[in-house]
Amino acid sequence: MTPEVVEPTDEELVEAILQGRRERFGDLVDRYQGRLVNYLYRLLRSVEDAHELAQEVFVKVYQALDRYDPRYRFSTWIFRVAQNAAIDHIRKRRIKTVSFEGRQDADGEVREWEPTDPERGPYGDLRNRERGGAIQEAIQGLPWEYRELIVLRHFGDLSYDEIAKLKQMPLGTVKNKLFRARQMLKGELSEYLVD
Amino acid sequence: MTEETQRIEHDRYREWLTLEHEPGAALGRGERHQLEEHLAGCSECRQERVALGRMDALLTEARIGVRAGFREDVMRSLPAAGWEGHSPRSWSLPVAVMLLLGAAAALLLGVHSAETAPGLPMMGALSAFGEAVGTGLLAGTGMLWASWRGVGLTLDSLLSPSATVALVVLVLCLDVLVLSLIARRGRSGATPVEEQAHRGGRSARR
Repeated sequence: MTPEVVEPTDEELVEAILQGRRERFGDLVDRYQGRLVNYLYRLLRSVEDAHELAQEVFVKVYQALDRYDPRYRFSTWIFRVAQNAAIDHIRKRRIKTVSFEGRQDADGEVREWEPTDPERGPYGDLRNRERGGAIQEAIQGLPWEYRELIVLRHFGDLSYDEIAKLKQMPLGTVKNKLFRARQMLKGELSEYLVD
Repeated sequence: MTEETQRIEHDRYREWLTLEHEPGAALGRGERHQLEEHLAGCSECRQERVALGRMDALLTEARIGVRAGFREDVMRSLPAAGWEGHSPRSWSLPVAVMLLLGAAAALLLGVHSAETAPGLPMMGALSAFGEAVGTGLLAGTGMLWASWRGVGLTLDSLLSPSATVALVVLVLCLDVLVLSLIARRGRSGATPVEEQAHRGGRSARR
């Protein structure tokens, strides 16, 4: 029988880094890169910007690591940093965050909904690209309070509890809003949900 | 059971369906059992369950991959002195330094008072310390009083009583203005995207 390998928690990794094991920060990057890039991508609608900003978030987190309070969850902390970074980024670029005509950016330039490179995204063919566009459009069409929660839940992979802590909302409110958000999304994506 | 009650019950089960696979908001055993019972007799909810499952799969499928070499890029961009360049994490070092300085001061006072009052060196040290603190407090209070008094006298000599009142009112108004600006900045800093999104939401609805 092989002994079970217990993965260190985020908090233990932080502690190790603070004790001088800088390379362990790579483990935190591994854990959060997908979640952060996807979360930021859904807010910024640009693959490049999402990667660039995710990298900035990691650097910010590293710089402030000694100020992290282990009584709180690391995931909530890093997503709060990401949320603030996204807000700053949106302010600077003046991207219209909610728009049904959202295919154009602030300069009127047409943006791709999804990455064209199949290596970097799941939308290789036309049907999938259409579906990707419909998902993005459905998410963008949600009122902000619902969209943010859907993005945190489905692309940031945060649990209801973590979302409640991050947004400083009662758990019941998060449940209720996510229920409504899913109903709205379901309505928008109905044609993709049938056989 | 009235139709309205049935509808409320039905909505409750639909909400439970969205919680079915959530680890952080898991349904209890009793709730799961109730849900399964309801599902056995409700085709609408069974369809809802299938649709929700498909939607979750669709959203999962919509995730993008992280570009190759991202981890290495992040590790390379970490500053040489990140958190390491900050002030110490604990108060132990500053406290130790303060204690050391305090001990040195007590020693010096003790030595000095032993010279001036050989019989009671500790009492002399404490008395000297008390006097130093007392003098410091008196000096501070005196300076504060003198400076406000000085301001008062200057205003008195420069301005008429009505002008002084006007000045006070002006200063108070400026205070209120600054405080309201700080409060406004705090509010907008908390949820700028929400505000932006609400604006966007309105334009979207239009």
